[in-house]
Amino acid sequence: MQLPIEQNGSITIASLSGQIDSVNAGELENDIMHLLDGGTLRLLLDCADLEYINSAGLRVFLLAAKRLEQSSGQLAFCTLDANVLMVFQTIGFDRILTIYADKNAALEGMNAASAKAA
Amino acid sequence: MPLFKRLLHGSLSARLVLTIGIPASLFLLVVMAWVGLREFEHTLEQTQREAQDMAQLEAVKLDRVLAEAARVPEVHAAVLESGALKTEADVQAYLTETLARHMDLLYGSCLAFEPHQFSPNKANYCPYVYRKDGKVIFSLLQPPDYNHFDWDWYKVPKKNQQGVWTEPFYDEGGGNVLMTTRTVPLFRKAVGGDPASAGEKVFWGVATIDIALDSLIARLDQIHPSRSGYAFLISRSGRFLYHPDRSKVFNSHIKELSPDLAEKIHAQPEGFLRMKDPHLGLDSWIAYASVQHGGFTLALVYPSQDVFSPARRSALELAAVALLGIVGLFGSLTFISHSVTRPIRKLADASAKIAAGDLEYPLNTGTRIREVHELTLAFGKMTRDLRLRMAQLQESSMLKARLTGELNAARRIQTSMLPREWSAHNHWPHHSDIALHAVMQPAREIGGDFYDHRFLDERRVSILIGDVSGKGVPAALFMAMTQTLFKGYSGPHVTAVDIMGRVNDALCDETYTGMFVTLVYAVLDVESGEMEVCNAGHSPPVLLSQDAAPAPLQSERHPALGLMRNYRFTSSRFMLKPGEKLFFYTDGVTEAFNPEQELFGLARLEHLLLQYGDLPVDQLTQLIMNAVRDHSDSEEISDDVTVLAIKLSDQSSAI
Repeated sequence: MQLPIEQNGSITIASLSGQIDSVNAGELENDIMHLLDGGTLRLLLDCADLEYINSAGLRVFLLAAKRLEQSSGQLAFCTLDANVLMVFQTIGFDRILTIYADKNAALEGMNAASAKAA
Repeated sequence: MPLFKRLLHGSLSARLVLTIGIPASLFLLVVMAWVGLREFEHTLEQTQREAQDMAQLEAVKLDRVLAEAARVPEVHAAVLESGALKTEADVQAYLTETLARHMDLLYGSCLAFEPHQFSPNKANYCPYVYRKDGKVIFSLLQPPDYNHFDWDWYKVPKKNQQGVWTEPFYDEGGGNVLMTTRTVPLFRKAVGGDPASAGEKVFWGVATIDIALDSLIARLDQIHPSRSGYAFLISRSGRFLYHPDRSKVFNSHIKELSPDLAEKIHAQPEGFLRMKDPHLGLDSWIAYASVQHGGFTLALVYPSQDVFSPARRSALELAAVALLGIVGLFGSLTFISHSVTRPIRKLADASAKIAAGDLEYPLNTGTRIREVHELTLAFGKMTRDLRLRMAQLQESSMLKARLTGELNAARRIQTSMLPREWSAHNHWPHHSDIALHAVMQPAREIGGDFYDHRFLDERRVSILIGDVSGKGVPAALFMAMTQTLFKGYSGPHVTAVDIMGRVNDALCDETYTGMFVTLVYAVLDVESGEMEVCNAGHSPPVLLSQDAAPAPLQSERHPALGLMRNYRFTSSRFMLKPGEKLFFYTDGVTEAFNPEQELFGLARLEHLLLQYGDLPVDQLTQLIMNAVRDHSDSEEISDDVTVLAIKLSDQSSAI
């Protein structure tokens, strides 16, 4: 899939787009695991262009969240489409993952959270 | 050229044969033709040399005889002019004696004088000796029989003051022989009155000899320049003196038979010509040379067919050799090219066999041609690699078959974990008022969807429908674990909330794969219709009642199982009225895409449920499954699809 990557300070911003379903969830998993293997600790997934996701895609997010939790990293999401947000909420991901309205709010929020943790 | 090109597009050996054979044959033919031409030229040169030599030789022989004869009248002149012969008797004796001495050469000899100049009393003094029957006869020629003053042999030398050879003639009176006469003038010293002319020479008479040409030219019969060649001799005027056809002798002129030849001979005293011969009319080479004494011309005729017959024969031999050479050349070229291309043709045959699938077909690597050897080795390697690859492919397809077999076995196990058809419970009178039907369609051999329904006790039936995130074997194992946990924790006195919490905690320990389960767990009291529903991140079931549109059950929403440890679940309570149905489904239904990338969607589902809500549960579930399959159409079904419907019978309210 080759996620478009953008670096903002120590935060890596990856943009998700299109549809993530059972067919291509494996590619997303490879991409994100590759980022984490490469030492990314603070990951913001920008969902501005993400049209659709199902439980197979969410499993990848859960996997990433668990790995970053173990390594005291940060994972956040921003700019969720209404449908995508509904899926997050239906499955209860909004309770375990950090979701911001937009990218600026996300960067601000993540920096504030890490400052607080420090 | 198109034919040549076409030939060159044939087999390798044909190309070799033609590209070498044709130029080599042409070269051979050119060489042979050149040699043949040279042979002809050489033959012609040789013939010319021989012919001219021979013509000259024969001419000289004739000339020598004539020259010897010509000396006789000169001697006569000298003898007379010396005054040695004084009387007629002296003359007779001298002539007779001379002729007798030259019998072999001379036919006759004559002296003729001016009137009264030898014998003062004789106007005509012309003594003549000739040969007859081997004897010498003497006679005096005189009028009226013969008047020597009328004859050219006397008039011409008198006029020219020098000797001449007369044109040959037939001596019809004498021996009927062809003769020629040499006549020379005689002179005496002037005497008497005129002092001015004293001491000058005065014409006195002539001395002649006759030569019979027959004996001279008889030997020309012996001359055969070639098989059908011949000689002929002509006089100065062109009259035939010798000709193989005797009737032509003396009677024909060369001018009559061959004016061209006559002209050439007249123009040039000797030569070598090509033209039709005057006797046989054949194309011939003619060599001729002049005989100085007598003014004859001797010609030798070589018909071309004779001249060139050896050359032609050797040309034929050359042609035969060339033909044999070409045949041999093509034969050996064919043999060589066949043996050279045999390994290539074998390789081509072998590759055709191998291409047809016979990978075991042996390749002959014994060839001595390096390129072919390398090609064969490379081809052999390719074949071996192909065999290896095929073996690997076979192995991997065997592996795949084994995996497929194992997956099928796994599917059977998974299917066996699902509850049996609800109809099996029909014999249980307590529950005849419930209708329940479920259908599951995994996207692959085994899937992550599951459902369950079982009686917890006499009155309560539990319904479970869930969807493990992900697919395939990991999802199936996770599903099996979840289902086992539910089976293990469920019991007569356990609440839905308790079971949810315990299963969630157990699953949270196992989520290193990131897997989680969304599910709805419902417990229905079949007698009261009271229902406890607990929803963990799953699509809410749809309630179908007679007096309202289908609507999702608004139960409290909780996170999926496996996400949050120690989460405290709560349940919502509803009343299911008799005749009402509750429709459970996994997101494989609403999230099925069609080829236009449109979702099946909740609205479509609710619309179908409104339209066909009155159907029996088994038909309703099947209808929804079919609708989802039709929607997906050619699009691969990417997710497991599960539907379950339960209906509380109308009769229960009557009870």
